[in-house]
Amino acid sequence: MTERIGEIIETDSFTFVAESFALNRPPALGSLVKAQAGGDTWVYGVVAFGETVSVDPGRGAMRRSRPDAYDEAVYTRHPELEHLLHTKFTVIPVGSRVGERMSQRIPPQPPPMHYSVYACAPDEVREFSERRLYLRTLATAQLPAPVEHVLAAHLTWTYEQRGRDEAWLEQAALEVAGLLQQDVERLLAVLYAVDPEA
Amino acid sequence: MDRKRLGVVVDGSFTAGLTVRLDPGQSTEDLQIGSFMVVQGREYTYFCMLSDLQLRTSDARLIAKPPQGFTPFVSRVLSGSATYAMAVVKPMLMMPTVDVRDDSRLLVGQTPEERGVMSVRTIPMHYAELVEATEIDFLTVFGSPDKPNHFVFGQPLTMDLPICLDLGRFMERSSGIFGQTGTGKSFTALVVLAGIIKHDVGVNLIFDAHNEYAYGKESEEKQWVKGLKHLFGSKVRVYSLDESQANKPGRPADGILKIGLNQIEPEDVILMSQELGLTAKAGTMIGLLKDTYGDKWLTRLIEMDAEALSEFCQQSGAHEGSVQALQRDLKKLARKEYIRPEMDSNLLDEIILTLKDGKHVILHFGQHSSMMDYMLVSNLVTRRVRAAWEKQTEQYELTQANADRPRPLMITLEEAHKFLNPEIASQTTFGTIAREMRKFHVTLMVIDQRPSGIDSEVLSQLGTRISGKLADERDIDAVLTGVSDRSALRNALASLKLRQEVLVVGHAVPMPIQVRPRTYDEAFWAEVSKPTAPVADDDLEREKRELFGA
Ligand SMILES: Nc1ncnc2c1ncn2[C@@H]1O[C@H](COP(=O)(O)OP(=O)(O)O)[C@@H](O)[C@H]1O
Ligand SMILES: [Mg+2]
Repeated sequence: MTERIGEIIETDSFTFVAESFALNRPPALGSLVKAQAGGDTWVYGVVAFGETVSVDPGRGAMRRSRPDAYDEAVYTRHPELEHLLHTKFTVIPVGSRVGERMSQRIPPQPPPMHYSVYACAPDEVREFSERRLYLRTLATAQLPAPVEHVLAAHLTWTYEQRGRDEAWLEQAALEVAGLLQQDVERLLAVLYAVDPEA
Repeated sequence: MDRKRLGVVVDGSFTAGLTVRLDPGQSTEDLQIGSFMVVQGREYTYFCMLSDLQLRTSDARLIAKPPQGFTPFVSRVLSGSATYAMAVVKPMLMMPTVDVRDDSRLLVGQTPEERGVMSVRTIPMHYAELVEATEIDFLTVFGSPDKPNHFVFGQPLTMDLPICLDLGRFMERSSGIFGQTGTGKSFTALVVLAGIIKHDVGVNLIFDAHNEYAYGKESEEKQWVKGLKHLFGSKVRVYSLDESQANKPGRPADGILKIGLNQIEPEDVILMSQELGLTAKAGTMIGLLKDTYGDKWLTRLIEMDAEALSEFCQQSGAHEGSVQALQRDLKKLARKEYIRPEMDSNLLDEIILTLKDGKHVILHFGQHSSMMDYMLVSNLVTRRVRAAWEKQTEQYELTQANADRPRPLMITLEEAHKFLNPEIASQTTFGTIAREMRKFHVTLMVIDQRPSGIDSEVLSQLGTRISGKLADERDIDAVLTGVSDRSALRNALASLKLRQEVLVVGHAVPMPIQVRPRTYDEAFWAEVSKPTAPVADDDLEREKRELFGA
């Protein structure tokens, strides 16, 4: 079993938001994660956004550093920050699993509130990304960030997880090219970003 | 057998052909216009010709402002998606889809029809796959060499397997070999002629205008190639116009042809109007002479002194100056070395008998190879041969006896436009043969570098056309006179290499195909001259003596 990395704090059919257990360290943009959805049902999703904000929406963060204490030292001097701040990440569901059956259809129900989010192991990433129909789901979703950045991040991350699988990257890039072919600027942004030869 | 997938059909029509989106990674540069390809529909397999390639982009910004500085990765990905290629293929034949691994479909059926191949009547739906043709597709459509009268003529441009001509069908109608000078017309003709002789599908009468067919010639690679006489010995008889060259070692002639002035008809002379520099009025005067003197019209004209000439003019009402001019021009003819005042028809009769006997005849011109010599002799000989075949056919229709059935005769004619141009094609023997001699079992194989100079009615009668590269639009149009799918074929013609690549269209092949004709070399000679039946020893000895002058 992989590491628990967060807990769901907002959830609907097409997006869920989780609070990360590590302050300031949400899972990588574009990475594949999974959420527990009860019993042996899991929801797979791609991380599309991450942020660290004040727990109390009414009170924004303010400067804490001093010339002799900054960055990491700020946190050592203010242990209470652990409770005043939290890190959240947004996930776009792109598939699910019931028992051993993996599918690239989004689940009928959103994952339950307060359930756990886990990282995916490389084997699981490999298995899930073998087919690439989910790229279309991702590219057409309502994203909190520009689509080209999310796609580029996901392709690069998966390529690394698959042990620098160039054949996969090229196939995936072709698929993305098909999805974005009406919008060359976005497409080129993805291609330049993922290009392993650059 | 696995066929390589090239793309999928995304658009198209029955008339314009199918538009195929090439698969990502499939380079246009690996595909050649005019090549043979297969589309796999649900019910039918379609045999097609690649007629066009087109480049497209999905976003106009890629055209307006082509991005710069691609890495190979980016250009690979783009070239399968936002920038992509379309192929247009024209289905020519189809057959019910069978399991491609089932080779047995080849073993049945002599003809394409019997193998299940039929003309196209429909088109496949969207996303039918375009695949590379494999050996089995070629064999299904073009037949294998072990079928009767199937002669391996060459191979596809990009593959190493046999493409056959059905020689029986080739001989059934007149045919043409075209192409710019140096594309290999004469060599192609040699290959076809050798095939016809080898397979014994008919007899040939060959007018060897440029001294290539009887004794071979030096190729542009400075190699001497063998002639048909060398390959086939006594099956081929050579009649030469050139006494001085005949019967030198390696050049055995079976007869020396002399022409008598009495054998020359007005038609022969009028055909050569341009070469002799005759005026437009010459025809009328020749008519008057013929009316007055019959067969001796030419002899009498040439012998006339001033007095006799003016006497003739007074009697007939001809213009004296014109007759003098005509006499002067025709004296050029009489001075030819091979012309005699009078000849009997023995040798010409012998030629006809030889042909009737199933042997092939080549008329060799030697040093007498001006256009005038060529036209005079070809027309004169052919006129008689044609009359003989007409008579034979009438006889056969009366008796219906197998022994009377005329042998199919094919007449090979270089520089065909000289005999078949629109001004004269309706009057010459060759024009008549091209238009209507099929029913008398006589056909022409015309060879020409300027097909646009040939009468279009004659062109439309051609059953099989073999054409090398042509540059002139009018020539391309002429070659494709009366053929369907012209635009696809036009592209296929234009894409041929300059030498030894031809497009074959028509009767002798099930569908048009680009072919690299066989190389006319040692290996080819060995194959065609291999005796099919044992030859008696003394025949062999005699042939050796003839050939090598020992
Ligand atoms: N089938 C062939 N086999 C061997 N050589 C060929 C063949 N076709 C063309 N060639 C080469 O091309 C040259 C020109 O061919 P030729 O038949 O004389 O052209 P054309 O009659 O069209 O002017 C030949 O001398 C020969 O070198
Ligand atoms: Mg030639």
